[in-house]
Amino acid sequence: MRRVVLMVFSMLLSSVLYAQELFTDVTEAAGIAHYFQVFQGTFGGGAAVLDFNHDGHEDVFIAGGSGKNALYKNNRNGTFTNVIEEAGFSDLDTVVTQGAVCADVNKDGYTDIFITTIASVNNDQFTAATNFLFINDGNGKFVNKTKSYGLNEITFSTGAAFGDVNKDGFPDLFVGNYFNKFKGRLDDYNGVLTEGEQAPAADLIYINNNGGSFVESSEVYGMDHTGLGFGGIFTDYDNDGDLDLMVINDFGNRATPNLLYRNEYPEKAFTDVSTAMGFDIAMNAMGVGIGDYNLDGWMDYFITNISSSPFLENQGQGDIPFLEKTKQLGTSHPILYTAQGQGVPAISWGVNFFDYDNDMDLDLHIANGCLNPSILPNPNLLLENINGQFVLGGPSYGLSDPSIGRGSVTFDYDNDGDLDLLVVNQSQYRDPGYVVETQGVRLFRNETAGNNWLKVKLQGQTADKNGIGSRVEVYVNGNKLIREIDGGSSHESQNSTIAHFGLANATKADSLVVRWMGGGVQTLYEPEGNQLITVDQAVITGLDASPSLPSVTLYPNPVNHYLKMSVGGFRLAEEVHLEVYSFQGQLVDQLKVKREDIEDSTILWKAPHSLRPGIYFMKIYIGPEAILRRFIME
Amino acid sequence: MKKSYLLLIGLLMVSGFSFAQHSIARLWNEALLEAIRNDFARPTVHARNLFHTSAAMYDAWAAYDPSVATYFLGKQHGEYLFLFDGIALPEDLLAARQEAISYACYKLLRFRFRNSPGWEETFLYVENLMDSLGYDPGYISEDYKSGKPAALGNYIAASIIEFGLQDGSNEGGSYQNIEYESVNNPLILTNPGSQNIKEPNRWQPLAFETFIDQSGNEVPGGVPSFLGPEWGKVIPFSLKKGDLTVHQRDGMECWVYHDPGDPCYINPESNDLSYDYKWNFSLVVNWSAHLDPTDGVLWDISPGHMGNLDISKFPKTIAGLRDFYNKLEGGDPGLGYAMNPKTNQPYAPQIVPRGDYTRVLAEFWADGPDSETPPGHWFTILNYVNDHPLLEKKFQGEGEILDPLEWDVKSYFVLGGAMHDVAITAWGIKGYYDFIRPISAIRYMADKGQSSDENLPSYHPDGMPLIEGYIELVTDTDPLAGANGENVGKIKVLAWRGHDFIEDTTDMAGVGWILAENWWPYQRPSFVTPPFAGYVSGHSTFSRAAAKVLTLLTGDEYFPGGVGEFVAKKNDFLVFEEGPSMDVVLQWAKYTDASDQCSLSRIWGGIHPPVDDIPGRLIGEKVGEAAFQHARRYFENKVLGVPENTMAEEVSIYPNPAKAGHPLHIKMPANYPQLSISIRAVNGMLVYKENNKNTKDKEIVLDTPPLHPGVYIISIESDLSISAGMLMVE
Repeated sequence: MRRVVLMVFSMLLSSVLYAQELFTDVTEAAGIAHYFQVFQGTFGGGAAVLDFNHDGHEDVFIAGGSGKNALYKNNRNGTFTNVIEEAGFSDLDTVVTQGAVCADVNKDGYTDIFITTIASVNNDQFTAATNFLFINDGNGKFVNKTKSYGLNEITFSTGAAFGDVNKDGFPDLFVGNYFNKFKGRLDDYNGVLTEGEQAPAADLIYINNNGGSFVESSEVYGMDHTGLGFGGIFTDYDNDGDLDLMVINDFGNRATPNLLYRNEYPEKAFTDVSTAMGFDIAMNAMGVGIGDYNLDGWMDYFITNISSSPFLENQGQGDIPFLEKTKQLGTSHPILYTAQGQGVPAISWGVNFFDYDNDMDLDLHIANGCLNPSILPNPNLLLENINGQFVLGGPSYGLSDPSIGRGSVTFDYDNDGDLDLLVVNQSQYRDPGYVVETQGVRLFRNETAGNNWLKVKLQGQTADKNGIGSRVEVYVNGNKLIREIDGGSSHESQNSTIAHFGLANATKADSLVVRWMGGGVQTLYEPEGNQLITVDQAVITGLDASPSLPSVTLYPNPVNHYLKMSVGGFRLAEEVHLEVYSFQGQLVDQLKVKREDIEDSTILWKAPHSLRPGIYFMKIYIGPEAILRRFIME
Repeated sequence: MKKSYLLLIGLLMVSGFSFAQHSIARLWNEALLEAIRNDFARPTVHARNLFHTSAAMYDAWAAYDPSVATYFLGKQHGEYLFLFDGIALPEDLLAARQEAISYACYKLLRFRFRNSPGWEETFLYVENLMDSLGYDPGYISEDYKSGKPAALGNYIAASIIEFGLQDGSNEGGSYQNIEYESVNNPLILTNPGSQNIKEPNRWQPLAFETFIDQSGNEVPGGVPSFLGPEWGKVIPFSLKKGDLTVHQRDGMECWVYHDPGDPCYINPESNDLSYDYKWNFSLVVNWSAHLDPTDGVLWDISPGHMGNLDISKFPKTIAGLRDFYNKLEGGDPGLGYAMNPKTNQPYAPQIVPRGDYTRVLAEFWADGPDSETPPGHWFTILNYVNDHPLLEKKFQGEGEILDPLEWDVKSYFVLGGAMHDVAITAWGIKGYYDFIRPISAIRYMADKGQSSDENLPSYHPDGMPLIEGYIELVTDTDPLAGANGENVGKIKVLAWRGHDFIEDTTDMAGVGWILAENWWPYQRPSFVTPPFAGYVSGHSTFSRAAAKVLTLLTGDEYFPGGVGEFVAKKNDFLVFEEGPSMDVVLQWAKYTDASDQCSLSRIWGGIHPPVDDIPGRLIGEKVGEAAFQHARRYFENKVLGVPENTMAEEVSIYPNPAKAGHPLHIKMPANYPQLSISIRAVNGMLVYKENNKNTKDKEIVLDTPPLHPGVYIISIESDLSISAGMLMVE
């Protein structure tokens, strides 16, 4: 039956406002005007977040492909200025750049930039080129030190990542390569050749030699694959305290599938565990997102693809294969719908786990973009984590830009405590022969408000300066939230190196734990929310000496062997009674303490050895009323 | 804002629709129907939306009436417990109910339709409706204990949203399939034939366009996948475990309620056993030859000559279908009514070209894009009946006249429950049998050739049955032979000629001879055949169930005044071609006349053979009846808890209120092994749990723990089902 009545409502009253979008496109207002200029139709590009001038306001480098690159300096007022000209990047003028990753490679306190390239171009002629390392001189200028750092190998490179593989405190570098070498035109290229110059390339691992140079060490580490690489990530998938390497490959069904190398630190060796861990998926892998979506303390991974993208759920314990759960979790979207409801095949590139609404769980952003030049709208997706399932937010969320998306990064550019998004969009390579609206790079400001948050910036001393690869853990309301400081992920990109946590309605966390890559654990108890905490590896932080009163303070939380309760603010009953319950509500232990036996207003409870790791509740009958608190057993 | 409010009221009056005439439930039902029209055409999803929204309205109404049972609030459905402590009765009952209903619908609709292609229109619509009702959409508290009806509405919506993310619909995953994969490659609609369909008994996806992949290959793009093959697992309204068969197919567990058994198949072993398959699908071709108003065939389509079928005489076997449908001339055995029983006058004849009647039917009941889908269509029919001046709003036609809000809330709740159960039933069957659609089956048979005569060219046992004048072989003198005779030996059919013969909507394709490999259903080119298997017909099942509900609800088989009608205007009503050639008034005496006619429309529309139809009608009758009786138990406050199975309805507990520490008796309809019994406080805390209890003499006796006086929720679980109910402790 056809439309009847009541259209009058929507026709007449267009003046009524509906609830504000969750994200606002502020690109133009923020002074960003940039396209990734695609070279001959394919490849690139990415962006990297850094604070190059140390002013506490994060800046962003955005690759320009065959056009100009951009270094957007944050003006601390919500706008950016492109300083690429004065910052000294003119050596990039004749090359086709792809992506970028940043780290303080010489540990001088200033973050440096590594830029991948696929070629240098003269008169549309294509010659393979080196990648570039620009060292930050601390005065707003960058100096091309590619050659002196030993990075001047000629490669067709895509994504790269920094990570301290040997835990010596200096960031090492993985570089993903696509073609062995390439000649001809990229827009003539069809399919996969396995021989010759268009054959899949070997990837590279550069070990940082005390900040002065890099030494290519793939042979030492036993990394000898080739593949049509889109880079990879360093991550501690098995929670053994060192950085493992995930390599992602395009056309895995015709060349090499994805690879997972387990780091055998302290040995200088990788073991290929791709098959054993169920990681060897043959797909068109484009990018990776890292995040513990189910709060089980183990990192999970989302790998972007053409059509449906796999979601690898970590099964814990380090040696149980990942489970591919994209359909169960709601992250499989092989067909995207345009604003008009037209279904188009999805091609996904950038991906970011982030807690956009500060409700403690990690949501997912996927940057989509069609191939060039047959341009179809490919809207980006925001998937909201609701009880462990990813529910597609609608176009009303404001993130459904259908342009030719590639890399994407999260950072809090306006320092308001929620994570904003920047998506790199390609230019149209050729007129597709029909009208299609696409836009350049987009900056989306996060407009959510209400929940509490905590940001943690690491300042390494013996470890990497920005703490790349280190784990930051926040315990709050019985949940354990974990982050790894990003050294390069998404598609040819790098997110902010400041860890961000949503605390929902908790005004403070129970504790903050930093597990430094390269040794050492620091714990800070009861950090207040809604602030940026800088954790300096040189400064010992410890217990908060004065718990707020009157409240029961439980520490340490997470619990290893014992738990202390500070009950100073209370009028105690004759006998204080404790009950410990499992998450399922089963009573697992109890304790009775006479008032006169309590010393320093502190009750000590020793955890029975039989308690398994997990979430527990402690019910404390201090006076007439009982107080219930959650804690975590490690 | 004030100004636009007045303007709005003014316009609504002009359009014949005003707040004064309609209940708040009606306003929100119209909002929902509009939201559905702005969304993708998904009958399963919208049956569920209609039910959940109707139940939200019902609960926002029933929460304020202690003499009826709420549906969600305080009840457990599946594993989800809707915590509810009750609410104090307000002074202005009607105002409270209107407010609670509005907030519940507003929040639920915004969530459920946030990904619609027309989300902006929908959001604007509900925003404006709230505004015109004087409610602040920015009020988000869910603390219903505050006594504010808006908070109750928000709480109801929030709970249903959470419930909906784990009810088996995979709403969280955008309702996509988790296990189902089609066994056949897509049929690319721009190309002829069935394109080497592998399994001619199984469903084939349709590709509307192609695109060039990264390697330069032409691949099907935007192929809609099967909508809802796993829908049988969704938590239903009144369907019972006793109606359920769990099948395995292709490694997938299929939940099938009211399993009708196999349809008819192409059988490679035996040409005879393939007879019914060929009869059914060639009938669809034959009926598509009726879609031309210029062929000189005139029908009297008034209730005086059509309808009045007796369901007890419906065929019960596949072979029996051959006597029910007139294969070459179209129509069913219905002879109509001598008299309109309400007026005691005969129904006036209405003579129209068959080609107009059939095309109007196909369009009226298409319920595809921009429509409210079949379950929503029956809500518009319910609203039409509710608006009828001759309708007396008495429940089952008896007792007092209900006020408009109570009537609307209850009628939506019943119809919503029935439509939701139909979707679960019909799509469970569709997912399991995965049966082919006419466009694929007809083209498959045509690709094979003819199966009538081994001595004629193009013989193949799976080919089309030849019928002179209707289905023939192309000979070398045939105009369809092609410039080089490339079509000689192919199958040609007399049929509606398809979209190639329509340049703009003032053209009419007409009926003529076409190659069977190019046969198209009479549907929009953007929605050639709905993206799911045919068996059983959703339309037949939805419509029959809805007709049953309307019959029971009003206590009358007949439309008010003995006739319901719809006018299709000359050269205006048809969407993709010119027509009808004159005004056509669709008329129905009984509700079931409308539903029977809807069923036939799908055959003329080219998307269902008879074998999809009749089982759907028979199942719809049962589901409609059960849903109605189930809903009535809520109105009569006779519900213990979840209707998951027969158990729930017949479990009784005594004494209730119970005395703490004293034995509690639970009486069951039968003996059950290994039951687990749990008692929870209303805040969800488990206070009692006992596993592996066995009934003895259909009864369990529990020693209750020393519970504090108050309200508890008791759940009784077997490996198949859960029932839950309230337990008072004194």
